[in-house]
Amino acid sequence: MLPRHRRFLGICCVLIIVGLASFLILKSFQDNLLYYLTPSDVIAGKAPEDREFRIGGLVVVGSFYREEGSLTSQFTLTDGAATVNVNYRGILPDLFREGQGIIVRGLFNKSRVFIASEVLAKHDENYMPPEIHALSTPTE
Amino acid sequence: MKRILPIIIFIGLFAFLAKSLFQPQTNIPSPLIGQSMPAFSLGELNTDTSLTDKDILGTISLINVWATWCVGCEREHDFLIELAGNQSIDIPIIGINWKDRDDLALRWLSQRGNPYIVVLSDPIGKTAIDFGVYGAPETFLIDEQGVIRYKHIGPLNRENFARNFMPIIRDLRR
Amino acid sequence: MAAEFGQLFLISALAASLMQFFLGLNIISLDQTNREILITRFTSIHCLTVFLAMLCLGYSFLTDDFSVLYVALNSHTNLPVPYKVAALWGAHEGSLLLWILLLSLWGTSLAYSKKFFDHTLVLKISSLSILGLVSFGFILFIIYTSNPFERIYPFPEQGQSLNPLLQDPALAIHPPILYAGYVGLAVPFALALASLMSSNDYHWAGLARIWAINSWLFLTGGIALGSWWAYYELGWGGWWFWDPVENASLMPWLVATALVHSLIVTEKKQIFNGFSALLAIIAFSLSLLGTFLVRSGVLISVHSFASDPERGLFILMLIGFFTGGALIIYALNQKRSKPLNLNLWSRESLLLLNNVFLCSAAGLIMIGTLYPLVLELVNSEKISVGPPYFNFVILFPFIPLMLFIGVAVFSSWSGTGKKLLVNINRLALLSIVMGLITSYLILGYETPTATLGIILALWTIFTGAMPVIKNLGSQTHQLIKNLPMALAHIGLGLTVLGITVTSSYGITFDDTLGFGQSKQVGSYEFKLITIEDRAGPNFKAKVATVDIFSNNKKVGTVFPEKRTYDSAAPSMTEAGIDSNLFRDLFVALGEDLGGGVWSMHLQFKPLLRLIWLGPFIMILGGLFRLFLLKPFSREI
Repeated sequence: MLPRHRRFLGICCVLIIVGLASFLILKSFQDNLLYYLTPSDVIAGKAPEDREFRIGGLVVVGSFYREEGSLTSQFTLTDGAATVNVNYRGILPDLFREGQGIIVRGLFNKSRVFIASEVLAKHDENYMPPEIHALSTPTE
Repeated sequence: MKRILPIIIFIGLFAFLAKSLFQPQTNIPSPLIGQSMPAFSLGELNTDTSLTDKDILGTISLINVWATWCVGCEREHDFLIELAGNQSIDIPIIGINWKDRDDLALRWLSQRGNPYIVVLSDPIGKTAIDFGVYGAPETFLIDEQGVIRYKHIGPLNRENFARNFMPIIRDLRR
Repeated sequence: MAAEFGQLFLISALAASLMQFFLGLNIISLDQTNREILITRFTSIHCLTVFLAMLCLGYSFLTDDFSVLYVALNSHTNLPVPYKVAALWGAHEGSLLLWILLLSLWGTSLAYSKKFFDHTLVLKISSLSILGLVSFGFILFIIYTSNPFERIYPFPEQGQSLNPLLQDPALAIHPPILYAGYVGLAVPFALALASLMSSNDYHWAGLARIWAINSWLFLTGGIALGSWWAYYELGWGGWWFWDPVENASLMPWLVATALVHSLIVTEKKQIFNGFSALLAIIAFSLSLLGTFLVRSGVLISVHSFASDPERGLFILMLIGFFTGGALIIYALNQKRSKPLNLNLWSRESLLLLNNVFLCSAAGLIMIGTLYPLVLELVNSEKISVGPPYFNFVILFPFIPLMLFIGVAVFSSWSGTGKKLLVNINRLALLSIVMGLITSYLILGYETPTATLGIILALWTIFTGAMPVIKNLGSQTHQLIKNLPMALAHIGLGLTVLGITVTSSYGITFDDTLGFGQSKQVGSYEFKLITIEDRAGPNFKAKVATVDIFSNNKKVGTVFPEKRTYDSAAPSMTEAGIDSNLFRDLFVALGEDLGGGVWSMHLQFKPLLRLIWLGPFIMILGGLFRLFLLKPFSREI
């Protein structure tokens, strides 16, 4: 093989490898973008079917339920306009409380319950529009 | 040519970082700052007297929008009491009780103490809308002529009061 | 009074740094000797004044002067003294003062360095001048937007104390170490610019290498310490989160590693001059970017406490000025170092290749860190890039990188590949066999990536150790000549081994545990014995006692805690960890689920300690290079 040919072959190989790597990197990037939706977005049908996403909202007061001694908890999230039922098996963050703003990551199951794989608590309970408050309190 | 590439990439990146900084943030300055406060006439909590914006002119004051349903208001309450009792700052605090029930508000004040020289009741939230209030708590700094000098969103504490309010108050008194 | 003195010192430092800058310019007519003496003096005055300012702030902390806003926000009369010292840099204002102090210390070390000779004196003067300008920019930043000496009126009787999360020995020393690394990169940056603007030859490379290694050491230490802190303090047993703040420290580390290697080539072969200079500029710019990301609050992050658009704007202007300016100087400089005639298997081209991989790794991390911002700008969609992205894409540059590291060790300067192949054959075979044995027979096959990771880690360790082993019989200086490289590569190999094994073979899950009940985690059995109340100095805690058994034999007991601090802060989780070199067993308390049952987070992490042992060995390597090799530095 002539050196010129060898060089050409070498460059081709490098290009193919770089191309393949870029493709895989881009794909991984696409796959790992986590969208952040509100319960209203979810009701409007914006939720992806096949990949995890995040929902942010307030935990509706009175909606939290967990059987004694069980790790699985259920609660409802709201943004004031729509609600989503969430199911989570695991330890809740120290800041988790009813009426508190949280973010959950996960997917819907067949019966349209959101199965969370992660629950994060937000810190901005301090400032709250009355509309959202009204919806996160049981009617008196 | 090869050496110009880094600076081109950098300029792109820089422009983008600069733009991200000027994104609207939660810290939206109120369009009302620098303008006279909106006219209002509100009833005092639990009495028949009512007060208008003209009644509070002549002194630098704070208008604090609060409600018993608001978690942040609980958090700032102790500081408000401390501030009201502070002789050296000596600033009157006017409370606007927003979208709330009078009985709950009165119970709150009797249990936790009352930092306000007067509490006005705004059950339907009309005045709050005029003030551009999105949520509670919010606090406005009003000068002697009734001009809104500063607006703070969220609970007050020693830090943000010292940092954001005190310099303006000092300037106004100078 | 101390605060006023501090303010005064800060303003003096501003003036001194400005003098330091002007003395390097030709507009002041001075002969070179006098110029050098004067600039050295002003550099030390600058450093001394910043140090005195820091002392004044320290005095305010120790005397509980709560009329100083920064003290009131970060201290408390009953905060232990060591944490009052740590609180000096516990928040934004103080940490920037520390930033400047370290910058001026590095500048002083450059000013008093014995490495400059007559023909490089101009380099010294111009680089000190550039460092003066950098310092000036940041002192201005402090005085304008983040003055730690600001008074409050009326002053509170008691301070708000230091964030409980920060009340920890590792985190107390973490910022100075990491910052020393960040800021140290300013010296190669200044030297590169000084060289580009003056002689534009390779003399700067040898000098820059010393400071590049220094800051690389601190960066390595800082990142490892931060990861260790996150592991035992944040509560949930993760050791790396691809958090923007962590990425902000990893990116300069990767580029600094590339810089150290590129400088070797520039120093020895007098090539890649421009590339080394570019790397020096990028490394420091990434440090600045890190400061920007952390301080401006543009990215949401578990770490960032301080966020303020005005400060972000100022830092952005500083980045624009310094990086933009440096890159313009770089672009204007068209001089070629030497005609390149590289052999693909020579050490210089292999090092170049690996530097490209290191920079690509930094680039990929940067894309993942900054992309969420782009998307939010373009179509106001809120997204984030998940850790799986980083975990996956980092493999692309790192697999070839690890492969070529070993090859580069055996290659020779300007050499061809012929001799090379013979040398590496046996070691390659050894790594593959050992790797397969480890992953199939000892640990059990998991994924191809895990097997590959183990093989590459062993390959890096073996090839790193080989040059030292081969010279065991020869003279001392032959032996220790390769020691720094060997230690650095062995350290890297151990880290990669730890990461691979922990993430592929570790077990992590949440479960419920009642008193006397036990749960199986891998081959270990965790048994909850009791949960008791305990009162600490400023907190109350629930303390669990968990016994751990292996093959019915008790191997350890851990005491995880749930603490509630007196202040309104949420409760904190203190994990219980039983560890040795081979594995970590980890228990964190969740919450009381009622009926005597608690939720718990359980972990078995094999070889986790290697992740921190590796950097430790890398640091040893760097220290050897800086201190042990000094007597031999003429020869190598």
